[in-house]
Amino acid sequence: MKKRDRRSQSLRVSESQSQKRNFFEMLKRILLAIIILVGLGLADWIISRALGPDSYYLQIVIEVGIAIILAVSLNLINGFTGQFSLGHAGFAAVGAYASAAITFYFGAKLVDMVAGLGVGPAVAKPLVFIGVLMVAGIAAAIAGLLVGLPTLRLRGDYLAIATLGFSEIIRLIINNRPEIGGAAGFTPLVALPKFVSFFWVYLFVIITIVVSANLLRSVHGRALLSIREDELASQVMGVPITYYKVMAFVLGAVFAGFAGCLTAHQNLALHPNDFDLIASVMIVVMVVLGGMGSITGCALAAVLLTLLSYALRSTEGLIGGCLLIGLAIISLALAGRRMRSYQKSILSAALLMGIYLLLKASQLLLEQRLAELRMLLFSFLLIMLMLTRPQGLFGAREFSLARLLEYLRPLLRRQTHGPA
Amino acid sequence: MGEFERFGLYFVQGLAWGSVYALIALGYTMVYGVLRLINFAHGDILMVAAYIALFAITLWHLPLLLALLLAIAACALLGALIERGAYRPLRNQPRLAALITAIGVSLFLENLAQLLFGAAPRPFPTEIGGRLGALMALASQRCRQSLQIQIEPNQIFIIITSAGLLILLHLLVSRTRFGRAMRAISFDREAASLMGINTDRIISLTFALGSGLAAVAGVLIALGWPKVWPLLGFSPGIKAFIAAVLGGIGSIPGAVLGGMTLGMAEYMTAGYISSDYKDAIAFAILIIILLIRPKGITGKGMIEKA
Amino acid sequence: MALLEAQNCTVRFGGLTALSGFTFMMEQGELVGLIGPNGAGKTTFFNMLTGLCRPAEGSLHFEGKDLINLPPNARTHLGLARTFQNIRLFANLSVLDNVRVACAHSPRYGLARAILQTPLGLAEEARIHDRAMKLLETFGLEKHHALPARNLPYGEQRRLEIARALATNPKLLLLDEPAAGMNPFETQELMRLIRNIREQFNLTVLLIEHDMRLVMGICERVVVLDHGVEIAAGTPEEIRRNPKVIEAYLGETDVER
Repeated sequence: MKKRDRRSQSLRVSESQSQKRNFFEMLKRILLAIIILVGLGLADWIISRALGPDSYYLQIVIEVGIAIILAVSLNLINGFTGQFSLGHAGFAAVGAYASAAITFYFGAKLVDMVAGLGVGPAVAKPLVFIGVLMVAGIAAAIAGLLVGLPTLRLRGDYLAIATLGFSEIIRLIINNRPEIGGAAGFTPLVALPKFVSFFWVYLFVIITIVVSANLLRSVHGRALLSIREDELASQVMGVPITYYKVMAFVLGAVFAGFAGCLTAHQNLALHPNDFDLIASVMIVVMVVLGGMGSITGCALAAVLLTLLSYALRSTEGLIGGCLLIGLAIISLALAGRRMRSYQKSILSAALLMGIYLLLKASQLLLEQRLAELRMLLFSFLLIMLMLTRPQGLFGAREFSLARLLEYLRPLLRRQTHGPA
Repeated sequence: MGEFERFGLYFVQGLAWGSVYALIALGYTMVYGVLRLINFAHGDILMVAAYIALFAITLWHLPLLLALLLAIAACALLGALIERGAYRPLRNQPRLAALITAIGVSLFLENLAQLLFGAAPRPFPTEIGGRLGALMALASQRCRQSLQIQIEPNQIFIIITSAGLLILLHLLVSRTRFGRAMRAISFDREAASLMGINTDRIISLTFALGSGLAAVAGVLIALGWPKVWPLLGFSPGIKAFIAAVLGGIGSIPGAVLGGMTLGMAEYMTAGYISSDYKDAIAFAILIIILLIRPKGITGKGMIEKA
Repeated sequence: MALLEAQNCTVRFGGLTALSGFTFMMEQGELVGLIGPNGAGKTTFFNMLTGLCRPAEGSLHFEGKDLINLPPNARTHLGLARTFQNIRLFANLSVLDNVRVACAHSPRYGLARAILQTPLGLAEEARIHDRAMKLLETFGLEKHHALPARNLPYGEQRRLEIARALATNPKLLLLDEPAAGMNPFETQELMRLIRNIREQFNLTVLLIEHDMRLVMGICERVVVLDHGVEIAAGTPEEIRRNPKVIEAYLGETDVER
């Protein structure tokens, strides 16, 4: 309430005063941006000191960051606009391969060229990298345009299949081009070795989230949401749905492209199979798990799922992780529903117990087949998740401190006042 | 070989694969018709059938036809179970949830097979034994002699089996009560249930039927390849789905038409242009059909409206 | 020049002819009612006007401009707005957002400014916010501005639909059964509301209604459709006594009021 009064008051007072106020807002934001940049740089320095540049844990942290970028960017298409895109990995692939190709063929030359301008190689490298990122973004944007435009009239399942088809075509094209490695994979990019660091990845994590959030609060975000809610009514209210649907795809694709570029320069090796249907499905699951439309939900889900996939790489992790998640899902189901779900949940609990026992008994045998087991459990949990809570963790709402406090307040009150 | 022989070769391949795609596409289209759901796990059912037939023949030494019947029965049951356990609870949820569950089931089946049987492809016996085999060999010989067409005994078996099943299915859908009920549900599920149709049972039977057809396709593919591996169903599954869309999803004649067309297009392209792009043809066709005629060749596709 | 000119419009859906040779004209400032038994083609006419279906024959002009090839959002920009028979609000968006979406159909700040939250963007946001709130105040909905639209009681949802349509700054407002499901008291309120907004916003109003109280109460002119064809037109009094109209409605309980 107060903010509204202040805003309408400021408009009524005088034009110049409100302009001054908005100008200060801008300054505040620029200051915030600088602080964030410095903070990231500091964090990067501390982390690389503590863990060492080739640490396994650093790799996990970076992968988590990339997953967040992918999930939040897909959220723009699936969550905000309600379009069902099953080909997001394709956009990441475009960004990854485009940037990798540039770096591989021209990277060293570009760094020398820029360094020659007088800035020295230390500054030249980041600058060239920014250029490479832009290439990835533009390439992915074009891909987004090529996918978004033809699929305008499609909805639901059809759109999903079409996007899947486009993604597969992209993968097939990459497979057949030996210049970028083809089916064998695109091996080490030595021109800019191990360039990607905590700083770069999380810089883009923040950029993606901020862009999403700002978009959401603006005219354009509302237009996208209205398309999700009721496309017909949205059109009749004057929203140019063609423009916005394509915009959603292009924007989502651009950030996926950035993520792809970061992956390429982090792993230093690319393979078309890294960007297949399974990869796209993983990203979709993150968005669904987090709650379509909720930025915080998607980010959180991305973190959880990436950590989960790492945890499931060891046998103990497999058993423990699956039990934990299974229990969590069961309790969610028990907490919110009526009688019939109890039967479902008891059944799933029994099944999980059965799997656990099976695992324990044949642990030795399974040592060699952990990868499939991981996917098996993952798919089983996916099914369970859909059956028990299809709206995901947060539904369409953002995590807000206020709501959390509201939730906790009755519990706190009971404590201070003692038993009634 | 001469031009005619070459054409004949591609034609036969296209025909054989086309009819296989048609069998699989029917499952997709029937399920989409009654539930508006794309059953991602459909392709993996045919993989299960292939493994069942493999073990039936190699371990229990059953003749091909018996193994086929066993696979059909098992997969029909499996299909109905999957519907009951994974899709039915989500009938009132947004379609996205069911779609994701279908993907989950697909991944589950693939990885279970990989876990139990290993990822390595296993050979499938290509000899059709007994009298059936002799018949097929005879037919193949006759074709070679009188029609100058190169056609393997297995291919003849594939084509004849598929054709027979398609005819049976047509009769089932157009003449029986079950067929009418299925069509009624595909038009309006609520109205159908108000008319006294037990929609749950018909839907389960539809899944069973579709899975049975997919099982036949799975065994036929295993026969023709002749290998069996956990991801056997992935590629034919997607292509058959594209075939169903091509013909008009939800339309049974469309599935057959689409399957045949896709099979022909694939193998003609592979033969005359290049086999590298064989897989790409299917996706290209998908994009084109979705762009210019989403209702499919027959124009009877049941695309979702606003 | 008439505000709206629909000449000889025919709309067919497969074998069914929903509208047949319908000619209809409206002058600026009028308040006209379009009535007829169910299935007469009234909503089809609205859909045709707003661009949701295409006529097989006929022409359509708004302020002299040809509408036939314009997409729905372009028609809205020209000044045409509507509400829906079954409420089509943006259910999960807040009441305020529902109106704000309709407010900003030609945003004066682009994507980049939105992302970067520039002063221009923020100022425009504030302007939209105020305009939307004022509109909500007119309809008595400002208290609920943060509620998701689906949580509103039915009558308020209907009012929100009208408020949202008004946010697009229309010259012609099409109301599709605005009084559906309302009790007599609510209907009276609605009549008052329609008269008020017509004056306040200088509107021309065309409404479809089954509730004869409303039609007789506020419409200056009434056109009657039956099976896609116009069967009568005139003042409410003339229509009430017209034998063809009574016959078309035979069996309907509303006619006698």
